[in-house]
Order: sequence, then C-alpha cells, then structure tokens
Amino acid sequence: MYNILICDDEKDIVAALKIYLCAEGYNVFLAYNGREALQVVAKNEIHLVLLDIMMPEMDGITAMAKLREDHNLPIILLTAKGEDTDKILGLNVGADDYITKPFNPVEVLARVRSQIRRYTQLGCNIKAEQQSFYTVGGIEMNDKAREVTIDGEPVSLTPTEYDILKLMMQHKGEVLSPKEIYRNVWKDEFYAAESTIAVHIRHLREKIEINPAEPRYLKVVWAQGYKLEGGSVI
Amino acid sequence: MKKLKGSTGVKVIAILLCFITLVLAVGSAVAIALLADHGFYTTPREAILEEQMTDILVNNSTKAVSYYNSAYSDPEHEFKYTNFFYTIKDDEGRILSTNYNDEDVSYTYTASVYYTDTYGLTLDEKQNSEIQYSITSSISRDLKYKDTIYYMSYGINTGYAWRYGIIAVGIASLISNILIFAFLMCAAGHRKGKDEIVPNIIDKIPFDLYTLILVAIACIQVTASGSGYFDTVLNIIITGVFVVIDFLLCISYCMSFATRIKTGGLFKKTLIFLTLKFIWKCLKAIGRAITGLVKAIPLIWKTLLVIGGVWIMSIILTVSIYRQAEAAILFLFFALFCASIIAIIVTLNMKSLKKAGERISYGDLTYVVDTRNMFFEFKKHGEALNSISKGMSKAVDERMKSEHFKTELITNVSHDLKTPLTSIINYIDLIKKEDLDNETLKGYVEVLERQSARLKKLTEDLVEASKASTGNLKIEAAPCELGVMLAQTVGEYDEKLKDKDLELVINKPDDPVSIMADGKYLWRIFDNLMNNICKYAQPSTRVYLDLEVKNHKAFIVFRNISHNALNVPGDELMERFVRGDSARNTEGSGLGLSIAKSLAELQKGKMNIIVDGDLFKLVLIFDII
Repeated sequence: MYNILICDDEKDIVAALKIYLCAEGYNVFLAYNGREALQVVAKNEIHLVLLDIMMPEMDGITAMAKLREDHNLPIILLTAKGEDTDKILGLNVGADDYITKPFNPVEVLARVRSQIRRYTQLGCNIKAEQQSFYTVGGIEMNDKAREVTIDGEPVSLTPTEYDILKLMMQHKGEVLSPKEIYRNVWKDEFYAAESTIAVHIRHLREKIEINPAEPRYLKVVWAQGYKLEGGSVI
Repeated sequence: MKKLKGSTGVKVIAILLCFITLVLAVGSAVAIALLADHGFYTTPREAILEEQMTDILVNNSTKAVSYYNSAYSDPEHEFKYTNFFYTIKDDEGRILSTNYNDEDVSYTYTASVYYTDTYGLTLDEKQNSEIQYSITSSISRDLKYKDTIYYMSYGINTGYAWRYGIIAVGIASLISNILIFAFLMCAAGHRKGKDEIVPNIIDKIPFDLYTLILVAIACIQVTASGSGYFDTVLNIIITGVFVVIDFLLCISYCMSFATRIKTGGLFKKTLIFLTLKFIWKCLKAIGRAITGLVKAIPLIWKTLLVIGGVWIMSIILTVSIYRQAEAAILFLFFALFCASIIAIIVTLNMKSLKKAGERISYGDLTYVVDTRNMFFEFKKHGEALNSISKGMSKAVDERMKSEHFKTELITNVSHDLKTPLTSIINYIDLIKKEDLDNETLKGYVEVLERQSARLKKLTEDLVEASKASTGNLKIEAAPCELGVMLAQTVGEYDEKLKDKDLELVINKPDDPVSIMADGKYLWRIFDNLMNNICKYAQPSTRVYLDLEVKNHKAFIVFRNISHNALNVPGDELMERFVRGDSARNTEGSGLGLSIAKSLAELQKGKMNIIVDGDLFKLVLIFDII
C-alpha cells in the first residue's frame, strides 16, 4: 500500500484524481497549496507527490524545492504551464516527471505506477554489472533471455524491434540515422527502406513509452535520426 | 571663539586695542630710533648729557650775545629765570653783562665773540686777534627753574633709564597688534548667530573702486600735510583726528578684503570685472542677433548671398591686384585658408550625418548624432535624424511591448481554459466508467468526450498559432536532412494513411538534401500538413510527396485530391480559422495551415498553396546548405 499526496488548488481535479488513484488501490492524501503539502509530507510517510505549479500561498516550485531539502520521494509535476522553459525549470528543481494539463487519467496512472516502481524496486540494481545486461532509465534488457522490462513490467517485442532497441541501448545517447540502423540491424546496404525503419521505431515507441507523443526514452531527432535517452520528459 | 567672532562689541574693542597697540608700537619704534640716533645704546649717560648741554650752552651763548648787541633786548632780562648763566667780558677782562651770582654750576663753556663781514657776530673757542669780547656760560647744578634745560636733562635721564624698557614695550605692542589684527581678519564677515559669511555694505562696493577711493584720500592727505606744521595745538589735534580716521579706513579696508576673500568674490565684485562682463554680454547678444538673422534667411538665399559675396570679393581682388599686388595676394591666400577650413568643417559634418543616416537605415535606432560641433543647416539636419531614430525606436518598443503582452495574454487565457478542461475530461472519463444502462446517455457521453478532446486541441493550437505568428518561439537552427525527415514522417503517418486507404508516393533525389532549420518545428509543419491530408484527402486516392532541388532551393511538394470541393483560394486557406469546408463540420481548429506557414517563415522558408479544381498542392521552399 503506497501513500500518494495530491496537491492542486482546483478541488475538482483533486477529487477526480483521488477517485482514479483509490481505484488503483493507493492510499491518497490531499492538499490544496504548497504549504499544506509540506505539512502533510512532514506528518505522514508519503511515497509519491503529484504537485500542481500555480497555487496560492506557496507555488509548486517553491514547495518542491523545500521538499527536496530532506526528501528523496518521487515528485510528478501536474500543470497547465506547457512551455519548454517551465518543464526545464521544474525538472531542474527536482521533479521526476512532468504531466501537462489537460491530461489523460490513464497516462497519470501509468506514470505514477512507473515512478513508484522505480522508487521502491529499482533503487538497488545488482544485475547491472553483467555483460549481456543493458539498462537505460527504466528499460532493462536481458540479452541472454531476450527479455525486456519497462519499470519491471515485461514487454513483448518482435525480433526486429528487439534488435533495433538493443542497438540503441548499446549506443545510448547517440543520434542514429536510419541508414546506420538499417546497416546494423538488417546487415545489408541501405536501399529505400527508410520508412520501414520509421514504422518499426513508431511501433517500438508505442510499446515502451507511456505517452508515445511525448517519449521519455526513444526520441525522434527530426530530420536526423533517433536517439535513446535515460528518461527525461523533454 | 565663534561667539567672539560674531560679537560687534568685541570687534569694536579689538579695533580700539589694535589702534592703541599700533600707536604704541610706532611710538616705541620712533623713540628707539631717536635714542639710537643720539647714542643712548652706545655712550654713557654723562657723555650724552654733556653733548646736549654743550649744544644748549652754545645756542644760548649765541642768543645772549645777540641780545647784548641788540638795542631792544637785554640778555640779563631774557635769561633771568633760567638755569643758564652767562658772563660777557671785553678784551681787557671787564664784565659787560652777567646774571651769574656765584651759584653752583656745571658744564662751563667759554668762547670769543668776533665779527666778520660775511656772518656778522660769531662765537669761536679759538682766541685770535680780532676778538672784541668773550663770553663764559654755564648751567646751574640744581636746575632750579623748569626751563628747556631742565626738561632736556629730565628727558635724557628718563630716556636713558627706559632705553631697554622701550624695546620691550615696542616688541610687546607689535606682537599684540599682529595678534589682534589677525583676530580681526578672522572675525571679518562673521555675524552673531550666523554660520556663513555675511558681507556688509562696504563689502558690496566694487573692490577696485574702494581701493581707488582710499588711495585718493591718502594722496589728498599727503598733499595737505606737506604744507602744514606741527606747531600749534590745533594742528596736532587735527593730525591726531586724521590719524584715527586713516586707521579706521585702513582697518575696514583690510577687514573688507578678508571678507571678500572668504566669500570668494574678490575679483567678481570689481568694477573692471563687471564692466568686462557687461561688454561680453552685449557682444553675445549682438552675436546671437546676427546668428538669428542668418538662421532666419532661407537656405537658398543664404547660398546666393555667400556666392554673391565671393563674387564681389573676387572682383575687388582682381581690381586691386593692379594697384597693390602684394596685399592682394596676401589677402587671396588668407581667403583660400578660410575656404579650406570651411570645406574641412563641412566635410566632417557631412561625414557624421552620412554615417548616422546609414546606421539608422540599417535599423540601429540607438545611434545618436553628435550635433554639438555642427553648424547651421547641418545641425538642423542632425537633430532631425536624431528625432527620427528616437521616434522610430519608441514605436518599435511599443510594438514589441504590445506583441509581448499579446502572447502573455494568450498564454494566460489558455492556462485558465486548460484547468476547467482538465476537470471536464476527467469527469467524462469517470462517467464512462460508471455502469450506464441507458444507451442514449452513452451516446451523449461519447459526444462530450469527442468535443472536449477537440476543445483541448483547439486550445493548444491557439497558443501555438499565436506564438508562431508573433515570432515568440526560440528557433535553434541546425542542419536537417530532408530525406530522413520525409522517411520519419511517413513512418509516423503510415497507419493513419492506411486507415483512409491513401497511397503515399514519394519522389526524392538520391543525394541527401540539407537545410538549416529547427527539427522540432520542422516536424510541426510536416505533422500539421500530414494531418490535414489525412483529414481532407479523398479516401482511396494517391498522395504525392516530392522533394526537388532547384536554384539552390529545396522544394517540398505535398499533393492530394480533396474530398470536399475547394471553393476557397489558396492564400486564404492559410489565414487563421479558415477551412476548406465551408460547413466546418470536420474536426480541426482551422489553425493548422496558419501555424505551418508561420513556422516555415520563422525558419526562413516559404509556404505556398495552389488549388486547381480538387487538386490541393502545397509547396514548402527552403534554402539548401
């Protein structure tokens, strides 16, 4: 049983989120501004915070900065401020994830699950040293078993998708052009199959990302190629 | 000390003391000089007495002889009550006249009296043959009578006794005089209860005039005193009064000088300075009047006047060359020199004006022309340029401000829209999860869900469109390979196209084509365009996507057959909220093409739309690198 704090000045949103999270079996605490959120965290053992940015009395960024002084728990920002600069500021101050309003409740639940799993289970990774074991953010790949898990949950991939993901995990953080991917996965010269790769990548993204339109790991570098990164929203 | 400086009483006393000490000092100095002259510091008292007494004896003896020889006076009578005794004897020793009756005497003087044609009766101590009679004179020892001899003796005795004392008095009074004078100079200008220096009426008289008046007074006095003597009591009193007045004038002059130095207006309050200042003002006014007159003449007339002047001068010069060749040539060179200087100034002014004009035309509105060293029309022109740039930069600032304000407003409005929208979307989702038996209600909820999703998209597009059209996006341009871009786009839209049964045909060159663009925003353009194709293309047709390179430009052409009849011109389609279907019953915000166009322009590209019947053709043009 995990304790989740929802903090937003819009009471209807808080109530709706409470219904979703309770239905999933989480224990929910409520707060309506930053100050209340700090009090709740001080008094209870909270495992995750859903935090709005624009709130009266104390805004989310200030509250988060104070929380981060002595807490390590995951914080997901939940806000109508959708600018890139707002996202960067939020993540720099210490947010683990960022969801913009208006959000899809399913997406919120998926992100909450992902953060809780990473916080509670993946903190101590003993398998990390093994040769045939790759890990990027919440993605883990056991090459011997040809198994892939996202935040601990197994994902089923086709052989081509598996090969592409393996190549990208081996070249974590690098931009791979469709040509390079084709040459490495198909072991053949590149011939008019660019869109094939693009389709495979899209499928792969739909399988490993919570919101494929805003990927955390497998990112499209438009007009250049693709890139696998360690899990930030930007 | 401050109180002392400010008090008038103290000042009056100080002036009095100053006078007294000055008189004492001067008197002592005179006395010391007198004493020194008579050997008071070098010879013993007896010697001085003897010398002086002898002088008196000689003097009185001469008088006695002349009285004796005169028919109207008798020496015995004249020297009756004096300390002077005489005995006149003839050459045989008979007493002719005497007032001596065996009193106790000192300082005896004996002389022969003889007669010369030149000098008349003369006394001589040497005995020679022409002696007529002899005189023996002496002075009584007890000095019974208070006559000249008594006072002389008394004076010499006193002077001798005080000969060192007087030096001390002199020095002491001199020092105290200097101190008091210094105090007066310090106190000059100070008033009771005021910190600053307050000039009085005297201090307001121009300094040079004041000095002149004092010098005049001094001159008059010197001239007057030259003819007077200190023989009568009245004269002495008058002299004393003048001395006092002179002293007061002097001290007030000194104090006024001190005050002026303290207030700092010593030279500014002189008649010479005031006169010069007045003349300078007059000259300035005349200069201004002339400048004003010249300025008032229109430019063309001014030019004509100058040309006329040059002509007249040239004619005079030509004529005068025959008469006074040297002077004319000298004048010619002088005129050439002046013309060169004028030409240099004109060139410099023109240069700075030209530079300013160029800078302003390049958009540097902060540039200011330095008009301080400019003249006449150049100055006017420079000032006009300055006011142009000032006015323009003001307008630009206001425009920027309003654009910024607009974007901020849209961001805020969209934030305020998003918050209730979040609740709506969430609660519709919650309703859906409830067990709804009523089929009609289920249908209603579906409509709500669809429309709220559309509202969401609309809100997002609105912000995007506003930002793109006002240029409030940060473009980070990098080399982009369009071939890769096309492949990625196809990959993303593969499924959507298949759903509509659209066949995508791509034509592109084998060589890579690169442009400078921001990949993220380039994708937004492609995304919007492909979205439109999926929405508005006639199902089961072909969609063409061509990449061509012509004249160093990349042309990306999207072609498709429209599902609805397009009765709107291509240019109008790119306006905001304009849609191909006039019924507006399809989903979409009507902002897609507008956003795409703005984004293309922000990345230094172009977007054109050609509508030919049902053929919809869109061309993106970028410079290749």
